[in-house]
Amino acid sequence: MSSWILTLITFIPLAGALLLMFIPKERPNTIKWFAIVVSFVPLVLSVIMWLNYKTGAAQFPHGIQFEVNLPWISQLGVNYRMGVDGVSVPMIFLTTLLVPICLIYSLIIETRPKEYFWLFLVLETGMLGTFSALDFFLFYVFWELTLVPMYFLIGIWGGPRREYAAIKFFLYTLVGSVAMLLAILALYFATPAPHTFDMMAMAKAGMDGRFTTLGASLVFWALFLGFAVKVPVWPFHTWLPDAHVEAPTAGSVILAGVLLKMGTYGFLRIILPIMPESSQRFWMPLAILALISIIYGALVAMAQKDLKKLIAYSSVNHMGYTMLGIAAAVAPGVLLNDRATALNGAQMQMFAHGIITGALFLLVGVVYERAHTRDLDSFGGLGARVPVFAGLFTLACFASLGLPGMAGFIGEFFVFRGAFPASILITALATIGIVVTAAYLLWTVQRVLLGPLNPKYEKMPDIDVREKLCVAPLIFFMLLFGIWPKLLLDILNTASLAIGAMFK
Amino acid sequence: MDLSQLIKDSTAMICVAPVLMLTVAGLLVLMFGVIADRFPKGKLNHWMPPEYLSIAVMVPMVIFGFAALRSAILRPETLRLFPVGGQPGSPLPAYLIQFDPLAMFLSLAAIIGTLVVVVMSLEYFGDHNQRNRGEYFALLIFATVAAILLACSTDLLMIYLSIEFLSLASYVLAAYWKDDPKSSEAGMKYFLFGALSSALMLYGMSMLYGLTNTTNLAQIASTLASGQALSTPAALTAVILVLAGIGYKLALVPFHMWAPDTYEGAPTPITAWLSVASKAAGLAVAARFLLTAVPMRSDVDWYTIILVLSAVSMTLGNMVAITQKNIKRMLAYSSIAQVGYMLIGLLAAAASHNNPANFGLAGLLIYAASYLFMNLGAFAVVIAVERKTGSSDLAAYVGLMKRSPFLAASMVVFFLSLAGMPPTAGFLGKLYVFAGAIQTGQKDLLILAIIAVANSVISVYYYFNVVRLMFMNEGEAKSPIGLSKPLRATIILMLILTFAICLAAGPVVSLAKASVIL
Repeated sequence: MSSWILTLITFIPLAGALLLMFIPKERPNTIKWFAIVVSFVPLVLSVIMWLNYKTGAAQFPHGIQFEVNLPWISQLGVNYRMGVDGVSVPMIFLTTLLVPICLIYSLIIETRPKEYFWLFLVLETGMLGTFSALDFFLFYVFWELTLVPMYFLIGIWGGPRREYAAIKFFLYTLVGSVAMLLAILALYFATPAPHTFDMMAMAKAGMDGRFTTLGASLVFWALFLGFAVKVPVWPFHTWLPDAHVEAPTAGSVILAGVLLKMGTYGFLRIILPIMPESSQRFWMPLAILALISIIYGALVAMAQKDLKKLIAYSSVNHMGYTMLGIAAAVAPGVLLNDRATALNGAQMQMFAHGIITGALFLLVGVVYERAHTRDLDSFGGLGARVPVFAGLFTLACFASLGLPGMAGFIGEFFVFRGAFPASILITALATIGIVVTAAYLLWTVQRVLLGPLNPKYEKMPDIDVREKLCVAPLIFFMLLFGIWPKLLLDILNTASLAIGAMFK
Repeated sequence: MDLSQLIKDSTAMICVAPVLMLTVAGLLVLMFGVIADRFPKGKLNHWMPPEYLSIAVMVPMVIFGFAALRSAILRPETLRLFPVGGQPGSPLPAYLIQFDPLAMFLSLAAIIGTLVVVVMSLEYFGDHNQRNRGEYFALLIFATVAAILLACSTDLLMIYLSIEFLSLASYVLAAYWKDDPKSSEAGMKYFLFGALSSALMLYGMSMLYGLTNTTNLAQIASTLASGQALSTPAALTAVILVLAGIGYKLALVPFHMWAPDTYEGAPTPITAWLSVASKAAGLAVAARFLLTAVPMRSDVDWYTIILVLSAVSMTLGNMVAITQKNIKRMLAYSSIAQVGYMLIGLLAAAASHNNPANFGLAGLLIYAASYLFMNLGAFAVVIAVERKTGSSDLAAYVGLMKRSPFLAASMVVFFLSLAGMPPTAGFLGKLYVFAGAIQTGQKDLLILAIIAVANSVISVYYYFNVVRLMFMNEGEAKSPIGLSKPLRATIILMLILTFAICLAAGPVVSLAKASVIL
């Protein structure tokens, strides 16, 4: 039976964007509020979807919920197939949560608001479609659809080096995408005739055995490149600091909060289920790259003078934990429970990083709006001047460094617990990352909030209602999933068990 | 089939109709133009300008073109016309032209291209009260006839004659602005390179004839396969020489030298026409010559040559496009690169020994159809900007988003499509030719596909350099750019088709799959 809820969630933003074109650009407030109202519809629908989601039911590739499967280009074996399982439901919720927050935050945008809000809505359709698509062709269309709006968001509303950052982001990600495209075609021709782009059929068919060893490796690494650039895994991360720093605040939130997750989502949804044997064969290189990302990201973050760049590099570090969980989950000779734990950790980390880094970027935006600088050394003593901001910022930093009781801790703990049986050495080395992360975040709190007040900021106003409204829900979820992780873990766990069961 | 049979066979008549009707239409427009120019006070020109007449005759041609393609697909056997002697005692029939689905598909592309170019010319000439406009449109229509004949040719002589016919019409059109040195230069360069490459081609053809004692493509193939040809190296030399002529029509490296200057200097609608319609005919003759006269089973190894030329064409075209300061030159280099992608489809078809299940040849057709719409769309925007600013330099595009959001946004879509990004036509074209390459499972084609995708990343860089100028450089406040209704309608139609070919790909894919018979 077809369910239309996913189609609605995905395409309502696009429909909203098309309607937005008819509002004259002389009425910026109508445009802004219209876009915000539109963006709340997918949020409500995704909550409804979550409430109706049957947690215990069969997971991808054996079953899928809220499915719609219609022939699209039948001559090519392309279907309009969408559906969700435990991996995608939280991601869809995360996306629909962050977009309204970003739009509310963006009420202050004054240059070319019509284009800005238009692009944001199109971007939302691309992201939601990526998380819902179960047909590779459809997936690729949505995947690429996210590139263009983000290019414009960085390039038009970004910082001083915006044009460079925008094209760099575009080209880097595109290199990964086109490699993925060739891999998709190879997978397509390996499916039994009539060929299909159906991901579930591919996952069920176990695509590894249909290639020679060399062919399977090539396809695996091509897919890897496609997703690793997005995550980003070291050494494909160099676009990230530029893009995150130059993007407007809301753009950074979406980049860190959702676009990076598309990369790890690709591993969970595509690479692991479709190429389990290759994934297992290459688990060690993946784990080592993850380890390098963790340590390198943390160390480079510590060296930053720019607050936004610091958080950007912390993303490399945090996404490294996710990658470590994914790699450890497919290591040979590990118990199913450990695999599931590692995958739970990876997914939890994805969600947690989305809300925590989202909040951090928003707070950096808040301080930048007031101080017009992000230079860490120029602040100092803001804690006494802007206490509410200071509290929120400290909370977000603590969440980011993995303080127990907040969502980030759960993710990291599960990753390390799951990775331990796979490789004690790598797990032990990865804990260095935690220490360094704690160090640079605490140091950041110290440099920004504590010490003597820089006289320049004597009149700095505290965080206002709009900004509070944006940050509050994120803080709420940080605490909620930190104190009561079962709420999310129940959903994640079924998916993790299904993926873990593919490996021996 | 001879002429008396032809008249009795209605489906055959439908296949032939576009050529015949276009010839008549061309003559009509030509005569009308001559009379109108001599009419007192230009009254006739005012009442019925030649461009309206041309649009009026071209619209039904598109319908005839569709009908011809349909009937070519549905006919049980391919319609062949004009039997010639050929080798004595040969069991193979020898004909000058044949109306097969592949030829009709690309002819249809040429016809649609001509119609769009005629509409664009309407805007381009605007209030230029230029005399001799009848000539211009008549030549355009005759060039279309030549393109169709070229696509249908199955004989070396017929190929040569059609190429010359096509070229002569194109030379004059490229040099249409007699008083503009750039336009004259465009025509002159096009002519000189054309003369050289057609001489080379003719020499190659004479060698092929000497080796096989026939000018018919199918008979050449059978002679080469039977090993009766005197010398394989000579045959390879001959094929390379013929490729010079065909490569010139395709603007394939290293026969591309004319393209940038001619594209820049020629009237913009003619540039658009050369890049889509002339190229479609070139693709047809390339596929026909290479796949039927010297198929892969014969000893003549053109495969590696085309493989290398395809890779070089993409890479050089894209690299040089980066440095261009003029959008017409940039699009010229981009079109050189695009041919490289299209040839991947041809190579895949050759590598699979013309297996109809291979995606390659269908990919070539889908790519040609996609290229038709996206490139014409891009040129329509170029014409609109050129009309207002009088320039086709990239500098004219600074701040275009402010001056005309519609034009700027349309250009982004066409560029995305040219770069092969979904959900646009160009993506489906690229997907299909790459699919053909990967389907063969051959390493060389896989490497070519990797080179091709790397190139599409490079192409994004220069396409989006223009996007950057349009959207991110505000420039000084300039007046908005208005658009005439026909041009706006053209751009909207091209936009719809560019999206539709990907989002509603079914009909195009079916049509292309049914048209891989040659």
